[in-house]
Amino acid sequence: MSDEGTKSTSTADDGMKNPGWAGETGEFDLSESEVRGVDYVGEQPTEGWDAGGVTAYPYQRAERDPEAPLFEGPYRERLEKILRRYPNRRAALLPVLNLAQEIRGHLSQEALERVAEVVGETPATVRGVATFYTMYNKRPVGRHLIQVCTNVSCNLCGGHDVFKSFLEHTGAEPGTISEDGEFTVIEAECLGACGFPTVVQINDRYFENVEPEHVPEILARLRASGTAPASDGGTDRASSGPGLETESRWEPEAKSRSKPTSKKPRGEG
Amino acid sequence: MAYPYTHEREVRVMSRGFGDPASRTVEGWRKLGGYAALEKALEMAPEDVVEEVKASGLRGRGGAGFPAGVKWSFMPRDKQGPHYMLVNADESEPGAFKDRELIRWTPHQVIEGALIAAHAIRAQDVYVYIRGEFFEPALILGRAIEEAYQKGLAGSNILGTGTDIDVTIHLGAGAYICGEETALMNSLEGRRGQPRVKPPFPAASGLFAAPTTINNVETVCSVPHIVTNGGAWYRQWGPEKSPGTKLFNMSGHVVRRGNFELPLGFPMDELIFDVCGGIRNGRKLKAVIPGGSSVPILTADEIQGLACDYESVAEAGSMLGTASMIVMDDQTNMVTQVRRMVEFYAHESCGQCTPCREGTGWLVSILRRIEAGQGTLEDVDTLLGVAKNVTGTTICVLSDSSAAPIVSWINKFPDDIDRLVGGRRAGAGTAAAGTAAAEA
Amino acid sequence: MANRSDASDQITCTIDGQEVTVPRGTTILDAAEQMGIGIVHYCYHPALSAPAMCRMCLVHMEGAPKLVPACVSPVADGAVIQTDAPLAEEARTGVLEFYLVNHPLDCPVCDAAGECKLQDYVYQEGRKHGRSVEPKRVLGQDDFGADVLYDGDRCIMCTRCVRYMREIAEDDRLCVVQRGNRSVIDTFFGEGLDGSPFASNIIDICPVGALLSKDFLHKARAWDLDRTPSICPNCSQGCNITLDTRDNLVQRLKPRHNPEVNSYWMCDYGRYRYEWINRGTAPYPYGMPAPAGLEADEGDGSALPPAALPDRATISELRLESPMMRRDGVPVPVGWQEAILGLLERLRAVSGGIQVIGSPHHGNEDNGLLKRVQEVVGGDDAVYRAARAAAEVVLPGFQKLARRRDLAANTRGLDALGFRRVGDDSAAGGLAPPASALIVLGDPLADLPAKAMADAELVVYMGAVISPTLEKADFLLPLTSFAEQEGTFTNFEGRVQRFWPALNPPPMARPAWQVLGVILAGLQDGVAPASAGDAFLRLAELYDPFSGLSYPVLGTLGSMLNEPVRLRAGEEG
Repeated sequence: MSDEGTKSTSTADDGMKNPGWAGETGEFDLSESEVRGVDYVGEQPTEGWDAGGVTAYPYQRAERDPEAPLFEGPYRERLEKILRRYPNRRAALLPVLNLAQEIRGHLSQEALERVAEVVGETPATVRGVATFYTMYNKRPVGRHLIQVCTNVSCNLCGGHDVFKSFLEHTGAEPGTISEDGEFTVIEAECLGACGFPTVVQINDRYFENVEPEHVPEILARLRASGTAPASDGGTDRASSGPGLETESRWEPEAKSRSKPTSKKPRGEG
Repeated sequence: MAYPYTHEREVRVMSRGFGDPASRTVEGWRKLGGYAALEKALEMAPEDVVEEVKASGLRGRGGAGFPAGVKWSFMPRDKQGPHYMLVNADESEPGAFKDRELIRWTPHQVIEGALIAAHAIRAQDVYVYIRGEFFEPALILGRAIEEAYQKGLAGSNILGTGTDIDVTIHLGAGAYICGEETALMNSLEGRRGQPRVKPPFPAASGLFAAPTTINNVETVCSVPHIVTNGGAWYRQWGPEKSPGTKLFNMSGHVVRRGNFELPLGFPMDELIFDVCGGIRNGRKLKAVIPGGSSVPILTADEIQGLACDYESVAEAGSMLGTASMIVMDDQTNMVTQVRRMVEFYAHESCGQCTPCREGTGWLVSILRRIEAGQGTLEDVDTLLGVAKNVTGTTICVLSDSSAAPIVSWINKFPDDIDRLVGGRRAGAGTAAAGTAAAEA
Repeated sequence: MANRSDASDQITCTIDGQEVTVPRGTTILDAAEQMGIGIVHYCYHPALSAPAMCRMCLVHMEGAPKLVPACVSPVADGAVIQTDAPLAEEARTGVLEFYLVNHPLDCPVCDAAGECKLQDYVYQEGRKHGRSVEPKRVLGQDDFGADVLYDGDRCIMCTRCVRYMREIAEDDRLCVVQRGNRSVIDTFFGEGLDGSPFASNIIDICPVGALLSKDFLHKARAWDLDRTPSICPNCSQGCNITLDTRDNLVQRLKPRHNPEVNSYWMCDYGRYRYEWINRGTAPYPYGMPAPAGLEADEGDGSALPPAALPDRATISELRLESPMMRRDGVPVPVGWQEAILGLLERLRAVSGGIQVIGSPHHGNEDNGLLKRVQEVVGGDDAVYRAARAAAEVVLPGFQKLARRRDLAANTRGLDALGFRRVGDDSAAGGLAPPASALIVLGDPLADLPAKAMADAELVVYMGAVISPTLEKADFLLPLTSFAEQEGTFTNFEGRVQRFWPALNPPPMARPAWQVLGVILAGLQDGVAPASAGDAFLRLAELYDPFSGLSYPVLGTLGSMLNEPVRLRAGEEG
């Protein structure tokens, strides 16, 4: 493909400035956590944040249990917060599906039935809605769902090669789970970060300016992350993504951060 | 500071905080002059805010360019039930990545603009519909909303003025079409994200069948600056009909990709060759898609001296859209890129309207064959015929968008077609209409 | 309707060069319809919400930037609309081509062939040759349960079925799964439509062959069917239907539009109980214990049994083929003349009056003249029996329509004629052995032993099928069933509605009104009616609830008892 030759080889693309694939920081001297806003967001985003709606966010956790009970314990509290935020239950359907998927990793028939009960719609209606949206996994995926943008802006800069590289290095066919259960690789439509090609969404995080040769390192980082069990359901940020923390970007998770340290949002001001 | 690169010719109004983590906080945003506009606006009558925005000539930044103040003025003045203010952050158009930057660097700019807009249209609720993939920006905005509540900038009795406006984030779940305003409303109501038939228009019956105004993130972010400085101030930039500054999202084969805030009317060739540093690897420019993948492609010749404003780009046969420019060099395999764009539309078609549901898929099939070298001249005619039939025949414009890159590519790059199908259509343009690559 | 509004509520527009004045808010499609201009459509259905998504009804309106969908666009005062503008025609041709891109064009094996809107519209305005050379998407078939089979490849995604289930059945079991050209209609995985009592209406409103009746699958080609307007005989709702027949057999029932009774709908209970019509029997084993499920029916219809066929052991399938008279204790086939003369002789000799048993499965004319015979001969015991279900099954989105408790079409008619209902909910019991003379219409009295008739002075059985109980009756007179004759039923609310003959009766069978009319004439009570219409006029003369009514008054939509609509001059006949 003629586009191959146009991968970002310019001087502007200094790998040192882009250690965690958090974005081409260009003229800015920024760490990954600064780009991602980790300090501002804090570590326990699912608690307390009623107004911003964070309780309804589609956390995509590497650790999840397809058999886990839905909407119990902390999830029950989050569910109730979600339902309070809309004038009717139907409107809460998307966030409630998000929550179910966060717990189970995908939306099974039984999960859809439970969601239907919660929002007071028929299971068929819920199925119709869930299948409309691509972010709802209708079948199990690997611990890390790798979505490679191959749409035009990324594709011009080698998106398809990055996709192929992920397939090659995970050994998975598109859309299937790799043998080790770690990865599912799919092509994604435009992820809306076209200035940072190739953009790869892995679980709920973006990796930007990814080149095919970065893939082994990224996969190593993913394999090493998110091994902490989700002990208390729903408030454990540490296991929700491939290493959000500011330190040890390259290291396996040093320790489990499964216990919330504070009930209040952090990083204020 | 237009992250990740800056340029001296930029005019930084909305993008001042880009690249500065400090500007995410209330404190940081206040240092940049933030929340002064909210204080001012809440003291103003709603209609005065509308008038100020009307006077600024601010046009919607979501692509259609409809004047924002005029849109607000459609809202009923006597409030009989709830009004809703929606912020459209479902940025999904290939090439567009400005709203994400606005949200993740300056979340309070979004909140402040949305609150002012809500005040202007007498809404008690703001919903920010963010595409589900923008999880990290949504975390930042969610945190900012929390902070705004804590500091009395949102929620009840804002800044002690007695105004109550709630701000809620709603995440999408993966559907480009939810960027269409009525599809977004359906999605927010927990339905399939299918565009609604209009009329009724949202100002009469929108979210939850209540009067609703929906604005793009960038539109909303322009508002605080207009309120603070006045509509006349905003008009110092840009031509009469397209005033103000705009984020230009530059992607593809330019040296410096990223967002650049420039006055509307900025010359496109200077944008690409000066601000963005030209084409990577010393190559030549082949084509530019000036407003996201939904608009007709322009050739290197066509962009010479072309002013980047709504009227000028339209006159050149394309659209400014979201000013999301996808730049392609002379080595670009256009059929692959066109096919990829049309695949996108086929994938994202909601499937209601038959021309779009069946037509986009059909277009993809034909393009795949042509790309594989199995196309014929007849296929090219069929492409154009199908493209014509999907244009103007559906509820929304998604299928029109799928046709735009195909038709402009076939018409403007006849050499590509020659090479692919081994012949030239009767009446097709000559190489002169083609690209630098063709001439080389 | 048009006269109700004052002038300011009326607007005038021009459609295809003709002016039309309609109430404000009328859609282009409706306005055109009034003028006899049909605007083609798939997704629009008059009883459902209009999503304007099939894009077939696009018309040109002067001044509009794009073609407008006629189904949702109200006409504006002074608007100039062209349904046949070149742009609109081009658009329709283009849209039709899209419909065929993935359509299998398997019309030769499609049940909808001949009554398919895709065929019709492509025939009218489609391209001669589609340009698509791509392989077609293959989805296959999906059994939706109940009687519905879904063929995803033929589906044009008009979503009428989804909207019907949501808006009319209010049983949201169908959904569009996936999006774009991967969209299909489905239920919640295997849930299906079982137990949804009005589900089969989606087969009727499907404009193509995507939703098929399993019961009707490959039974008949649409163009081989004769369609006779009729009234559903399976409950007292009186749904307007057509009896679709071939080879002198009912192949299926289809609802016929009547806004006052059933709109476009009918229930599955009624729809699939037609086999008995072909046998000439009653719809359920009369006088026998109720078929399993009838008592269990809690009102949602879910417990309703499939078409309850009579038990072959208890109800003979044999039609009465010839009038029979008992001679020396043995029934002997005779001609009609001999039978009637013989019967008249016996009737004149009746001493203590006669008892009559009417049939709610027979029309008003049949039962009315039976009642009249009793009045002329003497006697006052006129009764009937009918099965009754435990509960009504209401169609939530059109509450005028319900599967009524009375599982017979004409109970209200018999009430109006002065018959007294006896027996239990399975149409059994309530009858004492006749003391003197008895004339039975239709009811085979299967719950009575044959010897119960032994003491009667005279027993006359008029019916379509042989009754074991009554095989020793003095007279056995073969009748046509409602499907073989003209007549009227009176539904639960008193609406008298006509039905027409759809099947050819056995050669010797006669309508009851005809037989009874001749008997009445023989008893010096008027002239024998020459037609069902004449017989009905006799009812109007004789029975107050029917006064003022006549077939012309009933028209196609029926008329309420005692609420005659006065004919306007010149409309009669």
